[in-house]
Amino acid sequence: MDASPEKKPVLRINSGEGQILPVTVEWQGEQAFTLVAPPAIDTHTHVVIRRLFHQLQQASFSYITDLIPAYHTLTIVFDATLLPTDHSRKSPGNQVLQKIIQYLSASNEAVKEESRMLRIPVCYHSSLAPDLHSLAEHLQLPTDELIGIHVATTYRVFMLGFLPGFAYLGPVDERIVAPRHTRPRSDVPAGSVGIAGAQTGIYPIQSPGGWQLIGRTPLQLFTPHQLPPCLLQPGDEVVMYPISLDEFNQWPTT
Amino acid sequence: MANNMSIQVIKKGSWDTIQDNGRRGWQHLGIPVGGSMDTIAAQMANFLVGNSHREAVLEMFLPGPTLRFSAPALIAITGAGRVTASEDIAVDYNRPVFVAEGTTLSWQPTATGRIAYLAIQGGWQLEPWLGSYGTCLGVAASGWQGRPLQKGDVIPFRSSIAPAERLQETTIRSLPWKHTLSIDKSSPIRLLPDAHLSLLDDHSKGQLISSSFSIHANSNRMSYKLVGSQLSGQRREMISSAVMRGSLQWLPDGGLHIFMADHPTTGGYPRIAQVIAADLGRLAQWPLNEPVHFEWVTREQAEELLLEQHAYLSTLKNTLHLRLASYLTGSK
Repeated sequence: MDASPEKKPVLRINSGEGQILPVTVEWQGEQAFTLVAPPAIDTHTHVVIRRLFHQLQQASFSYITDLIPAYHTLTIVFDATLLPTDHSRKSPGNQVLQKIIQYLSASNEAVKEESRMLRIPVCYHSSLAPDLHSLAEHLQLPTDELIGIHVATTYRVFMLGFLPGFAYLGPVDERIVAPRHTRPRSDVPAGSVGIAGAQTGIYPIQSPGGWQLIGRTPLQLFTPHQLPPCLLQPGDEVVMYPISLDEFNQWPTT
Repeated sequence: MANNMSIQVIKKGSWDTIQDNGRRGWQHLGIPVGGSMDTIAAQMANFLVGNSHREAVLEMFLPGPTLRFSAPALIAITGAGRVTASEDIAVDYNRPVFVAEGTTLSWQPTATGRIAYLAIQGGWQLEPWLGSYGTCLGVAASGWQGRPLQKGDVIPFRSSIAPAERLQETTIRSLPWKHTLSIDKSSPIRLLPDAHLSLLDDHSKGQLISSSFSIHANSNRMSYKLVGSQLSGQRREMISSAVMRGSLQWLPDGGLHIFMADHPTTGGYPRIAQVIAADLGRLAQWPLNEPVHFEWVTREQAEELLLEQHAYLSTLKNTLHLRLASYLTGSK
């Protein structure tokens, strides 16, 4: 038996600026399917994913248990037992898919959305940035320039994953694209800011990790008993700005 | 009721965590669903003591812990293993059991599975986080202090009945009914094809079904690693996206992993197949070194099996709740 992904687009989405993105469906088991835009790590694609995410979040289908956006995909997880009983004996998954596609097709106007813009302080002092100097050397850039490039870009939160609250930000300027460590560190402190490929990210909590660590933020990115517990949300725009070691050390804790 | 109802951990087991049916609706923030590995056994334990399916249970990888009850309780133990009270008295699985204050229980492994569950009438006295009691290890939140139990932990429970009256002249009293799940342990684990199956070459696709695998000892709540044929095919760089429990991942070294309850919400390895939801509990209990075979089914079959399982659990819940209610009123 072979996978038979339904390659025919189920949606064509006007991403604004006159471009149409075809969206296909991939099943992930019998309790989830994924809406898939052409693979890309770019803002243009992600705007479409985020719009689908918001439309479905606001629609509050009772049988949808999770909506998981990523770079070019939105995964919809559902509980078939919460579906209103249908006597047509049609597969519950097919019913869910049909309802969702109908809903998204009916509301397929180019919705204007406000992105949140967050400013994140980052201390790039070498005591908090174990890979800064070696990475600058590897990239053949002065350290200051590497930092300057890192803070000059407005990043987008493409997705959260790996750890609760771990935000994948990007894309980074191609001059500072850097490979992961081949051997991950066993303990990366919370707040560490790293680069991996064309992505940058912040470790919300202490964990193992293989990203190139170039700084640290004093902000708490994950606070279990706040709602939501994560500072960064999918679709947010983020700018980092440099702070001194003194400012870092004196940053008020919440 | 006494306010010091608790169990004390005399000796920790290999991995004992508080779990429930999972934390849903937060995966977009990277917060995993988690929850019991064998949801059927966990729910049955709750039903046996009259709890709802949403109550927390203690999940114990075997060999399990030694626990001491500071107060009498009505409990149920399900899943795999065997459990003994002091003086090596075996305690029944799959029945409601009254235990007296001071009872000590300890869990040993058996060849039939990997995980045992303990439910307690009234549930554990814990605060849910984001709608679930389940332990979230990644951020050390929820469950019992966000971590597996350790020696010396004292975990409070609630109770709404007075078991002490029913324990005259005995320390342990099993109630006179039992429910055993009729699970076909050795039949193949059923799979649905996933998006990247076509990356495998034909020989490897065949091997996935025709050869046998086993579960590596280094498997845990995050993933079960398979021992067996290395699969080959076409490698492609993937962009990370959401991953489900039961996802069969093809690793760069040709090996296979199946994501289990504590898997990260996103991943970037090729997903070649998905274990059907109805078989996830059976897979979780699969004894190490026992051969596992896989078999394809259709999505419609998988849905039917899942709905059947759900209907079975609803009936089971009603039956077991009624049994207990009539016993408690009748024997007063």
